[in-house]
Amino acid sequence: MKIESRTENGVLIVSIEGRMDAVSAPEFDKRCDEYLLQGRNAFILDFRALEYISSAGLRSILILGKKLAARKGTLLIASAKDVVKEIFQISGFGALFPILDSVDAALQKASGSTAT
Amino acid sequence: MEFIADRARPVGWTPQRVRQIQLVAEEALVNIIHYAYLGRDGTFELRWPEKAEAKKQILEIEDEGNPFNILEAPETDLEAGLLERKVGGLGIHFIKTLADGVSYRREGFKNILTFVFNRHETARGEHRSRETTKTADGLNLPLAYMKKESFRKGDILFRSGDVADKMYYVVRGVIRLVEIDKLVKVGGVIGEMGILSPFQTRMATAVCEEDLDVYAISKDDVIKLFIQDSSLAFDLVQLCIKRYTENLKAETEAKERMLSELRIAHDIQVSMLPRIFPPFPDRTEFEIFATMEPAKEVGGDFYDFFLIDQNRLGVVIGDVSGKGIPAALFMAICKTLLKTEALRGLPPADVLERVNRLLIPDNEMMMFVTVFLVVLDVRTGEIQYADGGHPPPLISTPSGGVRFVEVPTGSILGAREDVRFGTAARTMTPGDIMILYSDGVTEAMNRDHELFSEDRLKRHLLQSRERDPVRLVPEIRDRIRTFAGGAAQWDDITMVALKYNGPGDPPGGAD
Repeated sequence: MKIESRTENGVLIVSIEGRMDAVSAPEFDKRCDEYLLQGRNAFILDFRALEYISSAGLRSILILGKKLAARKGTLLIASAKDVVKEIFQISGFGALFPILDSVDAALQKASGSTAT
Repeated sequence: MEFIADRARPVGWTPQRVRQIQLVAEEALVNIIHYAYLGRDGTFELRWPEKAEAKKQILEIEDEGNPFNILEAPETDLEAGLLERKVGGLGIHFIKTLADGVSYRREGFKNILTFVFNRHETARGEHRSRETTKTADGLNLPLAYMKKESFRKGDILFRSGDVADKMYYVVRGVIRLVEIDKLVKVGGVIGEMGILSPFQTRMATAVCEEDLDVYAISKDDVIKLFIQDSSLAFDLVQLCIKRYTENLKAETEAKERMLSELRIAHDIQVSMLPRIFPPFPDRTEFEIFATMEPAKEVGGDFYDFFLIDQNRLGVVIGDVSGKGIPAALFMAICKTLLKTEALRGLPPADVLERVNRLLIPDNEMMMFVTVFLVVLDVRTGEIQYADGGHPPPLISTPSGGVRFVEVPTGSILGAREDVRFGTAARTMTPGDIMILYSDGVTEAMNRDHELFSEDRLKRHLLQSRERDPVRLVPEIRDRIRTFAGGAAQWDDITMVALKYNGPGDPPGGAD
């Protein structure tokens, strides 16, 4: 699994390539904790290159989500493959973390919600 | 993971299904490592027995850890919100959802988990299987999404006008659609048109002809299914079009049958009435002209004239109750009977009495007829007449007088055997014209729902200068048409004009 990050409009975009499973999830957790320590509050997970996600990966997303919710931050997910969408659907995660069509759509939504 | 992929792909599992099997295996293994081995190192064995039986595939995972039955672990709450959601338990949920069967056993020091994966053509996407059943029309219905319902004979499934919110598939029993008299049997689908139709209501009432078991699916669920399986949508549309076409065809055929029935009835009626004028060209003692214009649905009016003997002319006018072919046939019977009996030379009342008696039996259809019968003796101008419930005719004299004829006792024919008829008599003077008519004349209606009435008829005759029956009848007809002003004609319009000219020369010289 490869993790890359960049910032746009103050939002952190984390791109994940490969598999998020029991083996790779801990690394994802670690990286996210680093970002959280830096004070990042708005996350967009770019799943365009994510091939596979198992319950371990979902677990990581859930934990990240809870942490961000505690800080009144935002977590959005963009561009998932059908495989991943299906997993989200079965697990009910689709209701917790709606998957947007593109990073741009997610950025729009993020700027909409941060403006008060 | 490669292990599974290598085994599954060549045998034709879809990539999606392969991924799902991999996910199940991974979730199981992670849990085993966690709970059976408690994080310490351990081994496990994966078995994927190749079987000729292609319907199921077994995956076995064996480990030597602590006794651990993954199936007993609590599942996560799928409905919980972000904050309430527990972190664990998802893996177990995936296993139970994505595998078609899971079982656990402990053998000695080993945990053995056995997974069963059924061969589906499409992968499992939800909690329920995609098992479909093919209906009699070739529609693939996913029974697992449908709810079984039972009804008793005589129950009403839905009524015409009800909101169309469900579709049914019959597995036992018979349903009858009342308004179109159509049966739906085992394997059939009903209510499908309500699902797709923009009209939200049922077009017919469905009654259970026998105790009934059906599988029902709501409109909303059908629409959800369309998103998952567009071929179902297509099949359903096809089925609806097929039904619609069948219904349309049946309707058109019924309409054509009805039209041809009316045409036949009309032809019978028209062909039976004398239409050649003058009917007795060599007789100068009288002139006669008649017209019958049928209403759209054959109304059963008739008229007739015949020479009873050298000196006597019989004229009949009548009106049969009812419409269509039954009325036309009854009219034919009445006309014939009247002529036959009248030709005996009996007084008109006797004729009506005899005809009435003949009509009563075999009158299952309860048809009735009104009749006016007049016999003119051309030597003297004397008329004898009887009336069976028919409107009284008018007599118009050359001097301009118009009077209704006073009719003797009598009542409609075909109803009661004990009806009495009377014969009345008077004399026509040369130049007198008798106008016989049916109630289609006096009851002709205009757009304001006014009736033409006896009054207007009399008034027209008073005003008219016309003394030729051949011209007078069409003149009255035109007057009625003008009065009606384009409103529809509800009843046959029938008129007979009989003019007496006086004795004249006896035919053939001899007497």
